[in-house]
Amino acid sequence: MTFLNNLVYFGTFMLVITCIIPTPGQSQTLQTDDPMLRKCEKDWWCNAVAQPPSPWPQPYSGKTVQIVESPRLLVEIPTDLKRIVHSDYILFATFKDNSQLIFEVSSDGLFQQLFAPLMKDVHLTMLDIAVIMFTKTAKDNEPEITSDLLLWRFAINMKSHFLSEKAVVFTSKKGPVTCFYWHVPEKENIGDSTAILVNDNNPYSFLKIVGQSMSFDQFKKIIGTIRDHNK
Amino acid sequence: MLNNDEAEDLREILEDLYGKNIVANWKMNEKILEVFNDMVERNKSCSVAMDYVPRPITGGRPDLAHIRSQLRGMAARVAKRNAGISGIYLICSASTRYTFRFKFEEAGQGVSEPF
Repeated sequence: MTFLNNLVYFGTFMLVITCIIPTPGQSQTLQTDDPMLRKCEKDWWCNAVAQPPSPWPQPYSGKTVQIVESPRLLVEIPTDLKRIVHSDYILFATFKDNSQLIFEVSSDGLFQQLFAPLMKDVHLTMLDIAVIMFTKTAKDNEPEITSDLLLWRFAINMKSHFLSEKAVVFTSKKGPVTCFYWHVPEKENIGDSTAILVNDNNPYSFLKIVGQSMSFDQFKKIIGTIRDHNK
Repeated sequence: MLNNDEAEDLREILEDLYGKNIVANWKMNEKILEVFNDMVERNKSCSVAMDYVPRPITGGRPDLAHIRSQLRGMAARVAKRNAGISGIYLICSASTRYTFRFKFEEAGQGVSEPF
């Protein structure tokens, strides 16, 4: 039985996430300054925030396979799969038309290791970081606690990566699940779409889904299938 | 195709960024080098990344041939820096490492290659 058959047979695929990124050099000193943020005011991404909430997208209506991902989210993807590859925290799903969905989980363990041993007395959760990225700018008041300040500025800095191309960031909310999503067209309406999802019922991680070589309409249909996986 | 020395140097640099356990699963290939080249370009403003920037930079984006020729020197600078440096732009380097990790995963596992 192939891996894909296993996937369909069991209906739900649980991806075990273990993010291990050791911080290079244990002799780092705490540096909350960021040269990019200091001079970002003229950059588009620096002041970009998501649009007010719009209705949750209509779900894909064809035959689907279910994927369960942290933070406790159930996603249904079309069954016309060509290949699935996964590592510890990423799942690549390639479809027969060569479009691709990439699921990447960011857990609080990841940030503990990105910033360790500086992460003491942190109050911000992964949910907070995702929300800061799309609702706050460098002009907003920053937290006073140093560790929280570090993560706040990290979140603002991440705008420069996520929003390197001018794009309208949409927001939709369904129950405890909030989705920030946008599309960067490459050819006609085909391009790369990205969604960041958080779940109020599990603030310790957020999920990034990237749709490559896919229309925004198709991507939104997949987003439309996502719901809180309340076992 | 990277030769053995180039692959070893590139692995050493990436292990410095992500740790040996993560990089152990990545195949050192030209796709990885391309991602690394993009990361170098993206990360020029982070002081820690300056260790990886091919020298001299005369402006514009370094091409792959150039960055290949610089791998040895970059790996040497990584080793030297790890001997004891402090005061890096942590936020800047962390966000770049975070963002590029999945691109390295994709390139290093051959996910984007035709099959």
